[in-house]
Amino acid sequence: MLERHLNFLKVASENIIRYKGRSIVVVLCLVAILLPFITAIAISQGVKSQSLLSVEEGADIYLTYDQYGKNSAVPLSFIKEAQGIEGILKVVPRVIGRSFIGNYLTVVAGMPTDALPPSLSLEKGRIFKEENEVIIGASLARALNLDIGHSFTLDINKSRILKVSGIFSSKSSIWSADLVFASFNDAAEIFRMPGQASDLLVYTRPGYNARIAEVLSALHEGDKTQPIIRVQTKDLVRQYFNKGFTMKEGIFTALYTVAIAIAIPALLVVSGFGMGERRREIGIIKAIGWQTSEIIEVVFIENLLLSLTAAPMALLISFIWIKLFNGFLIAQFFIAEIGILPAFPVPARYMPLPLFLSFAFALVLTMVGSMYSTWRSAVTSPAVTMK
Amino acid sequence: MNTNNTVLKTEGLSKYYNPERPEEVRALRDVSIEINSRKITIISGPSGSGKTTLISILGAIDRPTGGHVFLHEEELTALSDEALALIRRNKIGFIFQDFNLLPRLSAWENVAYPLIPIVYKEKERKDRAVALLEMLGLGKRINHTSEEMSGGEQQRVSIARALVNNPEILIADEPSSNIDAKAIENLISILVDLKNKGMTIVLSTHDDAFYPYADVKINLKDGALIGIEHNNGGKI
Repeated sequence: MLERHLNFLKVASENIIRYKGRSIVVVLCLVAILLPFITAIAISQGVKSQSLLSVEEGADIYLTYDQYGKNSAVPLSFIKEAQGIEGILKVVPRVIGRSFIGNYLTVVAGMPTDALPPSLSLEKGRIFKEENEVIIGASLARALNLDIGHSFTLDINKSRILKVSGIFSSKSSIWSADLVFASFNDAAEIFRMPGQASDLLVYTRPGYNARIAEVLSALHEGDKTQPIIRVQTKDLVRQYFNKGFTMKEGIFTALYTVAIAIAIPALLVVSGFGMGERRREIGIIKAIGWQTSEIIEVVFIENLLLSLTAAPMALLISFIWIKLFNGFLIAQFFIAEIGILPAFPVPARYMPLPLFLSFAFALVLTMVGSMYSTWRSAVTSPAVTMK
Repeated sequence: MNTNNTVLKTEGLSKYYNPERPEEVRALRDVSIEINSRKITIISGPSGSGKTTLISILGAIDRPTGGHVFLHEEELTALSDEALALIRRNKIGFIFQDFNLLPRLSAWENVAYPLIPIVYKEKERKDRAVALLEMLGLGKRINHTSEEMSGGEQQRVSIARALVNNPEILIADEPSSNIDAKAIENLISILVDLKNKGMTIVLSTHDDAFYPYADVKINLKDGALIGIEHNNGGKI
């Protein structure tokens, strides 16, 4: 029995080769449809993965003040208040803000050197030591043509001339691309926030996280003269990221499914390429004794093979596009404000589920495009279809 | 009269195209015939007399609008499409007027195509196809496609394909319409040879070159049966 199906498999493969024109058109259409889907999901997964990596490397709790429902600066005096709480290992102040360097928007982060992300690695130079020394992301250095010992100013505070002491790269390319790290004091002065931090990074003993978050949140309760404390645990941040990305991917997949459903009529027309000849051949095959189920099986296998060709081809092109050409042209549609040629390595992860989904899309499309017409031809009298 | 030798039989057969419409065409009207085994039966008549329609119904390729068709005791008109396909696969070999070869396949692949669902080894299929092609004098053309062959050669490929499943009945629709005189002569000798080997042969033609070799000649006109002639040792 297996031999019978293997026979049909062979016939189907030979048909794909015999109908070269039709097969190439179908595969190219499928690749054109699947490529944006696979690429978008891969970039989304890459960004998600880097986000989660940053979360893992970060503090256990992020603490800010809440002013009018928005984050606001925390006075450094609060550190002492927090440090007394049982289970807290250390509290690190951080200044984080944005500023242009000419036309280039950068993120400036000020913190003690021992709180820098562990995945950060220096490509050149050393960590900042002296006043006004900074380290900058490799892609920022490339974009602005900056090197060790070069000086520059931030538009937000042109009076401070900053000097590049090191150039770094990070596993989290997307977040570190346009980043400038400075000492906490320098950053506080750049943004004119003396005695304040944008937020506090709280590191806790394992297992104390939730309880400490509760205690910190409750610190100013009942004191109407003190601002509200906003606390975000690592778990909460992780949850936000996961939820956000899952929702984005879900919406994207849903929209894509709708787009594909709309594209089906177009594909029906495309797959009609050579259908007149196909219809007549189905009539002949039927007339010489093939059964409808046998013809359907061969066409099903043909579609399966075309989908199995198109899906990995779309994956391969997407992979080459992202890894070799760094998402030239295509990445800008999925990551905002990165331009035609991204300055940093575009993050992308190819996960099995979206790949399976893309294969399923391809299969559904080819099936919808051909099975009905094949069935119609096969159940029509051969005397009619052969004409 | 239904004799023991009857292989195919029709009763009150009719075929209307576009029935009950102004453009209705009555291709066959109340045709009742019997085809006997191991004989050459010719269905004859002028163009438009319903020969091709009748032969397509006898070959289980088309269905009638009314009446019945029997293959031995089995009523073909009552069978499903899938069962009819099995009849075409196992019992009837059909030679089409314009051959209907699959254009992208070689001669041997065309001949072997009906065997794909039933003979699983490609070598066996090829051996059977090549043996038939050699028997029909096409041993050197087995790898040629239909485009690379003459009309007569294409017809012989079509005959080989019709014979590949060892059918009980061979049916040919207007077999002389697309071939030259020499090929017709060749075809007649193949058909006579097959008849002598015990095959039942039915062909539609208005070419009188076939008449001397026919055992029975069924005459149609305007879709109706107008006469049956039997060859009793002489010519029809």
